[in-house]
Amino acid sequence: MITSLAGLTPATLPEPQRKTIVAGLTQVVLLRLVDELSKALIDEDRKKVEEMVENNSSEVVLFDFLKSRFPNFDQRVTKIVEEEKIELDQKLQQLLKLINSKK
Amino acid sequence: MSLTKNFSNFSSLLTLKNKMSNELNSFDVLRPVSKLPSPVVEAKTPQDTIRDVKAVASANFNDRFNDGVAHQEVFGPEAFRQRDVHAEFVIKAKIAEEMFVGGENGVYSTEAQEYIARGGSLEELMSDLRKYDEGEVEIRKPLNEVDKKLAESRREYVRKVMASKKGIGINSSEEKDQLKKSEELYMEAVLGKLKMITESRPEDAKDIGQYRQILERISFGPDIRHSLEDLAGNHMHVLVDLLLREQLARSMLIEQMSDTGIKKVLNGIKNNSKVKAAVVGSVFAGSALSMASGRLPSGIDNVGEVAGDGLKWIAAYLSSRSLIGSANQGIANLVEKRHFKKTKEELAGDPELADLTMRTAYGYLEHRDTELRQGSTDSNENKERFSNIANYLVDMQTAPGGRPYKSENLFGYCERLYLEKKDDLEAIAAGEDQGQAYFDFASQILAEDLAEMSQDLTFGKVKRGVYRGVSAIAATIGSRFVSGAGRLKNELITTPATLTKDILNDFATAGR
Repeated sequence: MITSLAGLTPATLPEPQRKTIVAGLTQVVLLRLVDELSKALIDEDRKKVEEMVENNSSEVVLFDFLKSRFPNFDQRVTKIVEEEKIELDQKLQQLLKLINSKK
Repeated sequence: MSLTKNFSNFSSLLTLKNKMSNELNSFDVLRPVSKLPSPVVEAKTPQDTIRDVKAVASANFNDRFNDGVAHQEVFGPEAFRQRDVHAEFVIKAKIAEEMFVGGENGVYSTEAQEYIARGGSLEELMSDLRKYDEGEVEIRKPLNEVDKKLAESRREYVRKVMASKKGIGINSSEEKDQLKKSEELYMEAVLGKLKMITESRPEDAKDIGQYRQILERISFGPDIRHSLEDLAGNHMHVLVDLLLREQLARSMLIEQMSDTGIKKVLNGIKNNSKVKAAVVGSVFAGSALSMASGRLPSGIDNVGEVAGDGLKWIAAYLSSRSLIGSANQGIANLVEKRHFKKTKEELAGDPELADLTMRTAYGYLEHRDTELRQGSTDSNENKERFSNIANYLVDMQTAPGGRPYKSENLFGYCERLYLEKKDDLEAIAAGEDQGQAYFDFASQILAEDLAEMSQDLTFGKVKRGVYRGVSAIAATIGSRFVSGAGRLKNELITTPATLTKDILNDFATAGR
């Protein structure tokens, strides 16, 4: 039985929550990335993405296209991942505070 | 049998021929036909009526977020009363269906049995159902002309915008003009509603869902001057409230008009009590979707189990954030925007801005007597006070009028008002014709809202494409969260569909 959340990170979370939390975090990062990249694309590139969607291009093709348009792609991903880690930690801390207040 | 060979029938044939000739001669072929006979409109069969009422009443019962949002009818006694009316007709239609066929295998449901036991007849039921079908049953109190115009123009505008984004019917310049016209009519209707509020008498406050004390302070006139603080607590409070309701109403209309498979999945989570119970446990109140607002669970009693439940809550919170984020058409982001954290810091860092923000959030009445709802010189204290706004809005949801939107969206408006457009507000406060300046300002903010909505919808296909592209690195992202402590081989989920399936499996089968 888990009695304390102190010191828990995504890596050390117990199952089955770990899998879902990591998957959820992954989705949130992807969606934030989508939001950021979509807004940053120039009109011409947006049209190209639309065409690729209409032509059912694979995720690899679309990924390569995005990488070519955003040289700092990896840095963007790293930044968002770090922010989400902090957000999760804050949520865990809030919960811990709540737990302690009930003791 | 050849007629010419059968001489015994010949005389009969001759008689018939003569008879026909006589009849033809008696028919005035030259008589003009005055008008075409009216098409025969067949009366609806009872089964058709039952089927239609069942469908419409069910849809209305479920569709609580339609135009009702902007008419302050989503929560509270009035909302539940309206839903009860629709629910009543769903049940009546089901009973009528049963009575027509004599029950299922001769057995009536409990509701049907009770109805029959009360002396109810099928004829009476059908009479009620026909009234509902023909719109003769009053569900909601009649809308005034302003609200009616607003509801109709909003629906028409959103419909046209959605069609244009889907590439349906908006090709010719005439159709583009129609879209533009619908936008103008909608904006006119929103500003008309705002004008109605500012010109309403304080004694009519309850009828229009406003506080009397605000209506006493909101009108314009040659002898009336409003300071920046007055504008914040009254005019901006009313404006932001109206625009947030409109934003929510448009979002709900867009969702209704959208067609995504993930919506069904979300509904499955929302409506499946077993899944809800498994996800949130008996400790927490509310569904995973309501947790997406970021509220911590309340009512925790057993500390020993809290951590486990707390993690489930976080898992559900993250899942619902990602599900909601991807559920909207084209992954258009209609959920709370995360950059408001920085906004809150900026607003909290300035006592005047913090106070103006809270005046707008709470309104003059709720702000004036409560120190904890006013700006202070301590930025951390201000941030703490900002966080109370979310709880306040939740509490207000069941008050008359309600406040059906989220605090994060409210901060979005405060960012625009007090960080981006404070000069404009100061100009209104200092100007001669404050009324005209206020409505011009309102028009500008609304136009920006509509442009943003249109842009979000445009992004649909682009976002789908970008999402497909970035999904290629989902495994990499997942491993960054757990780097240095084992791998997540075959555990990573890249699509909302499989994520949902996993949540359902994890929580529905594992139980609490």
